[in-house]
Amino acid sequence: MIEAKGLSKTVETASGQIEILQAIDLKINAGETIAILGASGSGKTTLLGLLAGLDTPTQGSVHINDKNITDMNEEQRAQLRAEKIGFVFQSFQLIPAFNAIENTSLPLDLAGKKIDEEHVISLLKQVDLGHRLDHTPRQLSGGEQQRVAIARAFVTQPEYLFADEPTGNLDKKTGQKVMDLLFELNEQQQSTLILVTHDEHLANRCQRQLVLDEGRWVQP
Amino acid sequence: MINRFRFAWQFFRRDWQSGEVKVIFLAVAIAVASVTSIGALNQQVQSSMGQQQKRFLGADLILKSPHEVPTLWADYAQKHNITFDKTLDFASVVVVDGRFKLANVKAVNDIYPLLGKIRVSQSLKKFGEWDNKGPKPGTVWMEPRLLNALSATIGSKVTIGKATLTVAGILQEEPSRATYLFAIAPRLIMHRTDIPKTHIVQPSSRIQYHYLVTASATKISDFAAWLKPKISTGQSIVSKATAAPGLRMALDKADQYLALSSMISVLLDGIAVSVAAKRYGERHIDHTALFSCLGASPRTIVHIYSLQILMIALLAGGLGILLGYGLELGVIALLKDFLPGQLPPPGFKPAFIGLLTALFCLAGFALSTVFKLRNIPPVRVLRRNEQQDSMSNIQVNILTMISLGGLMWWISGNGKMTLILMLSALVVILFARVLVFTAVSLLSKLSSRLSAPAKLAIRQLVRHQRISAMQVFAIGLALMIMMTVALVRSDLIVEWQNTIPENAHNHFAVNIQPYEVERLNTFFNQNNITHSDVMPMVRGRLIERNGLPIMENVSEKGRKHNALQRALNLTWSNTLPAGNKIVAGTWWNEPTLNTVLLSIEATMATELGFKLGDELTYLIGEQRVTGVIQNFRTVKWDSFQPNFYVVLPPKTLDNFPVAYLASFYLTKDNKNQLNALIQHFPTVTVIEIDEIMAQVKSILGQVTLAVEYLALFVLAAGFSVLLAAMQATLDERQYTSAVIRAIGADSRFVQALIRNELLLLGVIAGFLAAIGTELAAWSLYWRVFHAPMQWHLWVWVIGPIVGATVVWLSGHRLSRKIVSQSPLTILKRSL
Repeated sequence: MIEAKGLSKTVETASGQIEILQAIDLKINAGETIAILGASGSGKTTLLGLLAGLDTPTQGSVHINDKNITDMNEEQRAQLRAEKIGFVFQSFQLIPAFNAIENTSLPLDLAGKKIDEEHVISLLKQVDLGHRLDHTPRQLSGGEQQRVAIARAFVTQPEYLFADEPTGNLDKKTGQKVMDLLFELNEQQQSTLILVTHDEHLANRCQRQLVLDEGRWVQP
Repeated sequence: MINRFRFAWQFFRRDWQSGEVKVIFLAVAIAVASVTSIGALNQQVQSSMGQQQKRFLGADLILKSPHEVPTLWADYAQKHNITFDKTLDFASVVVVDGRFKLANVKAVNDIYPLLGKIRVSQSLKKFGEWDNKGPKPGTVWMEPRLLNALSATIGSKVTIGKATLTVAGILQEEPSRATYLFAIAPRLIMHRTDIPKTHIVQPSSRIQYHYLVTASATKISDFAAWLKPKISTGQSIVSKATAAPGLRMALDKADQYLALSSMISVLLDGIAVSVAAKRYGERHIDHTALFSCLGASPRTIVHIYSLQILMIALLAGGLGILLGYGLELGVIALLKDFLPGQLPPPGFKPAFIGLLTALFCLAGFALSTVFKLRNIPPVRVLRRNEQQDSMSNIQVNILTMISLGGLMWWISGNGKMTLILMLSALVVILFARVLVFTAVSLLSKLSSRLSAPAKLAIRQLVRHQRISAMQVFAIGLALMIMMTVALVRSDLIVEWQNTIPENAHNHFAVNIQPYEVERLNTFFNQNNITHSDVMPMVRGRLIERNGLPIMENVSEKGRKHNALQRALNLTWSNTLPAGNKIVAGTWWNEPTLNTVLLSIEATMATELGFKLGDELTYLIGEQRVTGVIQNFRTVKWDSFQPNFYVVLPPKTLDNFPVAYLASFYLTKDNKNQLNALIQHFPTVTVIEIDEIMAQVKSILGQVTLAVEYLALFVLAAGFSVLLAAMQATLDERQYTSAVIRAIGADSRFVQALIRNELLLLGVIAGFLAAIGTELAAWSLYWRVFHAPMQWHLWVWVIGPIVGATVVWLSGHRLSRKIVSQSPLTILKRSL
């Protein structure tokens, strides 16, 4: 379970302080799928970063499985991310020099875990990339790159999957296919999915929809 | 750990394929190659020069003593496996068929010479063979002069004291001649076992015992240190460092130049690695944020990048070492005609130094980047503008400077030179930003009259002042260092060539009687022989200073000064001798005879603590002469002309027995004029030093070649800086040009823009390099080479021209690379 209490985030800019999030409360149950909606600049990506332990709030706290990650140091948060969290990004975030297998195995490599190549290949096959195992991102289309990113997100069998605008750089048809795969794998692995999007159609596939506007919850 | 290593290796391989680590790899490989080859070459040239100097000396060390040394000293040598052999040197009249001549006799045993060889001939007209042993018992070898003076031939019987021996060879060349350059009497070598038969060596005899010592360098230095406190008045240690001061000075400067070259290639490669590491760090920021996001802890990130850097260090270091040894072998092959016989192999030390250079270079310059990377926040994967600097650029630059300084100091072992170069580099850094700012401000005002690409190029410089300053700094520093090396190199070579100019005097005529001076001058002029002034010479011993015995009136250190242990040659002159320079006081114009004035050699005066106005008393024969110090003067001891510690005004020594001395130059073809000279002036003794000068020239020639070769390394290192500096801004330029092309500019416009921008950078960097070069050269000449400094106008002209040309040419390739990719590909990649 993820629980956020009174979460605020303020950043310093040249023109003064900007409050991106204001006293956000949120509870996400295990196995739940949740969509966070909002216009550009509403604070949804910032909230995702805070919930996943990528950033620290100015005020408030985030608890994952009853552990306050706000009080953790970077080493501890990194360990938590390695063990329990998977990510899918809008811009795919693949290492250009690595091929599909190497990009998928990256979280295992970084955690110093033994790599079960068969497991990696079966994941890539599941996302229809069995014929692209040795291809580097430059040799793959946008949709294929995002499918590698999805395989990478699930390779550690995470409890929580954070997806930031996963179809933002894809056309509608490809986006649809990518999301099908994402939901399929999520269901298979029974992960908790936190999806940030401004696509209502996509959000509707989640069990719950929350809307942010200028850093506050609003009614959907 | 194995997994992490495997991942780091995989990451390295992939980075290599994508070109991320190639520049840093190349910079390290060049640094290691230059340090290794310079180290190996330095070691071999040093060892070769050392061998030659030892042969020159006949031993590693000579201990001179007026009496036999305690047996304890020989015991110490034996115990420590040090060869310790004695020769006896004394002056004696030798007789052949009733003809007499004073000879400088050396008595040697079977193992003489310890180092080097003796050339002995059986005929005056032939060059002899090299021999590694002295004459056999019952025989002697004589110098040609002695043979001629005694009208002796091979087989003649010669009487020395009460012994009669047979002339068995004509001595043409012997080791240790350097220590007898000015021995007036000609040389005769005999076997030591014949000494008792001569009855010459008696308790009161004036014998010089020369103990020749050879062993390993460490043992020699230990032995010298052990001996030093034990030697008494009249005893002295002669090493390769104290024999032939002219040669020593030239070699010291060569040593310093070799050190300077290796330091400079390290400095340049350090800059290249540093610039390349900065780009490497910037290109890995996104990867690092992703790693962190996927669960890599800061510690893991440091491990991964450190392992990658270690891999670069080992692989680039290994390649550099192989390259370094290969290049060194090539150079040795090129220099083989100038090097003596077999050289000892360079050993593993240069490889070790090369590897440490690679590790140190990367640890010093790239690890700071790694530690910056560990603090990249993972949230950067979501917001690209999120970046946190754990260390400011100032801190990184200070760390880099400290690492560089440490590395240069360690490699060269010369703190003073390191400090000078580092301070000059610091000035260049400080000036870089100021110069870029001033230049772009001035250019901005002029830009309205310029073409569109030129105008845009200036705007680019204004907008990217920080990056431009970095490039100006890197290129300017590389140019500065290369120009400094070129400047110091050419000045040093000219100075060395001047050490022994083509027609340097290669013979001395001594024992010239006053009535022969005019005739000798006429002889020289009639035969077109270049010669020095014929200088008078009176031998006197310094006994008092300001009325007190000299030993009581100088410092403890001064008491051991060589000038107080023996009689010095005094001369007189109306004019300042050629090559001398007054450093304190004034020369006399019309001295009165009421006061005797003295002109004293400056170094000796400093060492003995003399002051202008001091009264010095010399004992000449049985008479005392007291004079007042009127001036101090420097003497060019390596001029191969008559030089004197003490000069007096004319007429002050008229009442003393005097002999004259002159130096002159004879070519090999004119050598027969020597016979005519000896026939016309039978009492004059001629000393031939042409062979010794040939040896000195050969050593200097060798050093000059090595120095010229080393400049190539500096050039290669400079190229790696240029490459790194260009690569450093490649991404930025690619992006800018993609945007410009996307909005309608054609490739030619973009190429013109890039070239204009680089041309400006090159000119500014060249100007900056000129400032740095003058500063570094001035400091080096002043503090290290002790040579006079002058402004070098060409630096101010060549600097900006070379800077602009080199940067413009490299920009040509860069601009083609930039426009060869489609703007869409570049813009998509930058998303």
